[in-house]
Amino acid sequence: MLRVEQVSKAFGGLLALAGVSLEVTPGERRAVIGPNGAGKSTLFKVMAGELRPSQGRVFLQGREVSGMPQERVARLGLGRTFQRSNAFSELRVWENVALAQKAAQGQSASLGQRLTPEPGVQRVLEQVGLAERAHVVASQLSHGEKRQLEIAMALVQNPSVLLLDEPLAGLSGAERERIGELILGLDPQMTVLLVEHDLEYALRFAQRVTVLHYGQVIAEGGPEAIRQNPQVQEIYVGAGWAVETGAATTQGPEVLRSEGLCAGYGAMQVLSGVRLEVAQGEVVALLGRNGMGKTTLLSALMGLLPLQEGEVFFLGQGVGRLPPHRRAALGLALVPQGRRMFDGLNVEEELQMAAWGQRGRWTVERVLEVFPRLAERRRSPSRALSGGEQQMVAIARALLRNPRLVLMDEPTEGLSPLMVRQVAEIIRTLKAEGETVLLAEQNVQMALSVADRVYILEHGQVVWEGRPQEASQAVLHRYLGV
Amino acid sequence: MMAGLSREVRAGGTARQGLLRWGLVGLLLLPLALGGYPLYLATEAALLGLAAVALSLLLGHGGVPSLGQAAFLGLGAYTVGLALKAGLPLGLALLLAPLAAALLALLTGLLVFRTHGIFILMLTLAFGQMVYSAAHKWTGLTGGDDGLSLSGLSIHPVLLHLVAVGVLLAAVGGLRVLLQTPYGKTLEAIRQNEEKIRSLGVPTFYYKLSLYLLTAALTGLAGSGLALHRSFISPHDLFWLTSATLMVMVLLGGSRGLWGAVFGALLYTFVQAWVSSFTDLWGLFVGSLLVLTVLFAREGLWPLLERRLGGGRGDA
Repeated sequence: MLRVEQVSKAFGGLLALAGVSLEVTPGERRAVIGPNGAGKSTLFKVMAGELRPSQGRVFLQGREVSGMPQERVARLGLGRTFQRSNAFSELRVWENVALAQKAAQGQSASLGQRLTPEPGVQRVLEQVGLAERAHVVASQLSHGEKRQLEIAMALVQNPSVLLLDEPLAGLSGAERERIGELILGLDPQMTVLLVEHDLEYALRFAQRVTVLHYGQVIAEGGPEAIRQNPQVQEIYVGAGWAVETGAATTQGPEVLRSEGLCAGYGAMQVLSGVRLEVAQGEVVALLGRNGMGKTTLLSALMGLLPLQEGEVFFLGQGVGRLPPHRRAALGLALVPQGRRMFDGLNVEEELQMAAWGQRGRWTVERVLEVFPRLAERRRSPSRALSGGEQQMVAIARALLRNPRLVLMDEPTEGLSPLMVRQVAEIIRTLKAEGETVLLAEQNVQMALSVADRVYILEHGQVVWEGRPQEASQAVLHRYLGV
Repeated sequence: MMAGLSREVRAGGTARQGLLRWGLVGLLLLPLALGGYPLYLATEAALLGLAAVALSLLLGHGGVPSLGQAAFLGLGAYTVGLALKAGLPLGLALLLAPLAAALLALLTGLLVFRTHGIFILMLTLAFGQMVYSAAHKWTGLTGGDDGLSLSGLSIHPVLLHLVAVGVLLAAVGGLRVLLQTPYGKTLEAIRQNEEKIRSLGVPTFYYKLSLYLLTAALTGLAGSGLALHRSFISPHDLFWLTSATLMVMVLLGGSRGLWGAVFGALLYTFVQAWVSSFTDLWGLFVGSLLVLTVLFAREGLWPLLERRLGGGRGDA
């Protein structure tokens, strides 16, 4: 039905796909899994014709489609939903679906009559549970409803192969359940490929599973075999890291505590009733898969996102309603995901800017002493640094505010294994210097190697807390269902 | 359920929105009673309005930011002028004008729609200026700076005005129907999310190109009307400022729903004439009006009127 032969895709120097081959039979349910940056979305884009492979070929029903523009591939029967639901936001729900239907019929250019909701449109809207919302303008749909619309637009085209790119990402509770069921209930004749970070769901959905890692297929097989595959377990949990096993640091006084914290985006609630504590001098790791609410939690603690319910106590003071700059003044610092270097500044300028008006234990000189690598690169433009070095700058900037607590959001994101070790080294240095850190991380092993205590976040709730030596098993269980 | 859907599809604006539109038509026709300069200005507004409606369709609905519409306007004008000089009948000359503009759109559009966003703006601007230079320098054909005079022809101003308003209303009506067809809705979809509609199987290049041809033809027709109306064609009307003026009209009135462009053209033409009668700084006035519109009525003044007077949102 769909065959991918030795496909490679390079972006500049980065090889996102390195010789991927796979074959999907008619009516098959296939899940493609792998950690962040494994190349899953790139693979989907290449299959759909959005990206042209650097090498290799893609066949749809025996016909080579690589090199065709995506609209031709779509007309040949390949449907897809996007990771970020993006319908035509100013059009009504039924118009979105009707346009998809016209496109599949090759009648998009028809001028004869008005666009009308034909029975097929109506049927699909009922199938996905949006019939009641047919007249609503698409931008007013909830997050989950947008996914339903996205799926409706794919289904009305009656594709022979359907690619679903993370249809559950960012959904929680009832919406997650609803869309999960909708996908499981799709026409068994249709061939469906799914990329999903929720492994439990992906393994339930799939007849066969393909595991990607650094752009290569490292395993393929039935869900149970994949679950037990040591190589797969290793890429999710990592290997070669010594877990922090030292005796628990004597608990210092409490620095941060959240009680019944609820937060989200607009009407969507992401976090429900999160309770966590960080004590002086501790490194606390916050683990969880993509989209489980780690970044949202850090944003809520920092005040970038308003609390819906609950309270945050910082140094004994309720700060849950304070704006971010007031919390920063009290000694809370966030190292954001993605590092965010300033254009046109060199390393030293970045640091000086952060140190502006500050007096305390951390000064630019002290930071450069602790991070000799930055001292070497002090005159380099910060944008020209490697990912790991930029992460150092980002952390150094936070330290220069002389914080009482550093919040770090996925400092290893997008870094090579060597760089990840560097970041781990930095965090150990901070710990030795007596800093207090709350670390949200995807790289489980790295986090366990530096942490004193661990929280696991799932669907916006703390589902596990404990010491790092016990965390490995908990993570395996939570992530892979082993 | 289905009955509910079709009812909604058919329901246009409210009755009061209809009244507002008739008010606009009334404003266009009122100068017939006055004659003279007001009538001259009103015809000018109706013809520029047609070009503004075309740009509104292109920009507001198709999402194509063109800063080269003056070329189509000018090409339409020169085509009708030269055709009449060559002794062709008026009807044929008026047919050739939009065709010539559409041909230019085809040639440039093949390149323009290889790019997106700001680059479309720059390319259309560049092509527009190329046509301007050609008109300016090719004195043998266009008369260069001296312009091209159509003094021989005299059409009664009342007749010309009625025809101009008739064509304008027919264009607005026809295009509004077009926007409800699958083709029209697909154009809106392209503006909102081109990657998505492509992934559904729509070759967007041809949709944008066809829209470009259609709007160029309408603009060419407007240009031929302006040539007859002014009895004179100057190459300076092809300068990019004319394109910018059209864009200001569209932004003032509102780029969606097409009525806004008509209103914008009428407002701009009369405000400009009125203010320039007592100061040379009329540009300052129009500029302030645009700044205020952009700051306080983002969607344009017409949707604001529709909400204030028409009770409810425009159904653009």
